[in-house]
Amino acid sequence: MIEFQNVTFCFDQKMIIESFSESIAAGEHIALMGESGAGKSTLMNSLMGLTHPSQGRILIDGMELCVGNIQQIRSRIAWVPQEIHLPYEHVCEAIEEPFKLKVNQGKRLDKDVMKTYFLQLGLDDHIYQARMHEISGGERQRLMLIAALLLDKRILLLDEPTSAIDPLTKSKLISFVQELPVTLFAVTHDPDFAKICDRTIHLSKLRH
Amino acid sequence: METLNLSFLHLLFGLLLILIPTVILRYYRTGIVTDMLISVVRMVLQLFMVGFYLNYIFEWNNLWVNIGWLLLMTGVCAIDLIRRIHLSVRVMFVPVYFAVFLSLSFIAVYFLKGVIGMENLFDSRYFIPICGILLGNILSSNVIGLNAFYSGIMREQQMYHYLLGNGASIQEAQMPFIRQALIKSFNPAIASMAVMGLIALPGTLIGQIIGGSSPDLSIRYQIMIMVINFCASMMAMLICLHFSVRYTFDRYGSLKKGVIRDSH
Repeated sequence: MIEFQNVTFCFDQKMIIESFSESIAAGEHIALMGESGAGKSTLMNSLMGLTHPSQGRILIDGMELCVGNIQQIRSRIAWVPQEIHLPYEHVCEAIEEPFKLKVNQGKRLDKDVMKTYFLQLGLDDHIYQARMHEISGGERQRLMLIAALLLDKRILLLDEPTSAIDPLTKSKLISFVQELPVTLFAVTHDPDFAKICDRTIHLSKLRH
Repeated sequence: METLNLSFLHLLFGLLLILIPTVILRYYRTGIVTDMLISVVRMVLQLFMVGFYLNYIFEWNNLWVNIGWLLLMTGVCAIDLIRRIHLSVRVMFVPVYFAVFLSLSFIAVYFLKGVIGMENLFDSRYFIPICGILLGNILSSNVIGLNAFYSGIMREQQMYHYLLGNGASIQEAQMPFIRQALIKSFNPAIASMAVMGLIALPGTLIGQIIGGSSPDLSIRYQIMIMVINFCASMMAMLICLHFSVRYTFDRYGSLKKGVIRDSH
């Protein structure tokens, strides 16, 4: 469960989000929409402790987000950003390396499940052996989604999941995401993606 | 064999060579002629100043003066290093000073006491040049390394946040950037060691041979100089990163605002 309790975000004395409160139930799928600069990324980043509210508090599974339990909170979250350069040379590393993190010790990579995900998301098996620079932005984003799911995280944060893919792949991705048994929080401009979510939260840009 | 004298007149004649790069840089309108000339003038003045005070330091050969020189020069090195990587001197001085001093002291003691077996560790004729050469190398390699680390984190902030956000500890998230910093900083030294003696004769070796030492002895010293420089620089960089991140990153792992003076 994710709770935003009266959170306000200010950067350089400019208010981005004012007194925002929302409660997201475990397993609920949320689309976060709004114009650029409305604070969608700020809100998403705050769930990982990458931005901090100047007022209010954020609770995840009943734990208040603070320095003391940030690692515990991050261990439950998987974030799939829109466009990113990963520090790996090969695709297999992007999948395997997260399993080596302290937080994921004890988890094992299930390659059969991985292959099923590849199939469901329209990725060829051979991509696993490819170099990172040989794959497209859309393929990279789906790979990060697969890596996140293989780690069995409870909360999935998606940033523009349908922005870099063709219509056919988009429909595959949408059906795939719809069935995921996780709490989903997705920043999107895509109404088709928003439709399959349980709820849509609209953020408006504050006028100063 | 005595070293041939180099009079001021001969030195002036030698400095005329600077006309060649001046003409080339002017012809290609590089806009760095003034910078180059200022650097040459600074180098000449600074070296004369060093020569002047080294005469006294060698003559006095006083424990406290030598230690004072080391503490002062470490401070100068730390400030120069921090400025060159565009970080805040106020925030970074303590960790950088500590890192430079710790690695320099360890390597200098290891070499002077352990390897060449000096009775008086602080004998200025060895202590000052060895610490001086170590400081110079620590400075140049750490500028490259720390710059690569901080500019890497700023440039690839999303990647860094991706690692943090997906559960990596601060140390784990910084690992790719430390790796890059080490590669960028020490690849030139590794390449230089690989060709040492074949296509490159280092200044220390040449200086010792001109100064009258046998090539055998000079070579042995040169080997040790390369090794101590390499080790001290790497130690300084890792200690510096280890301590500086406590000051430059918040407890959530994000780079603090105001730590970077200019954009990288």
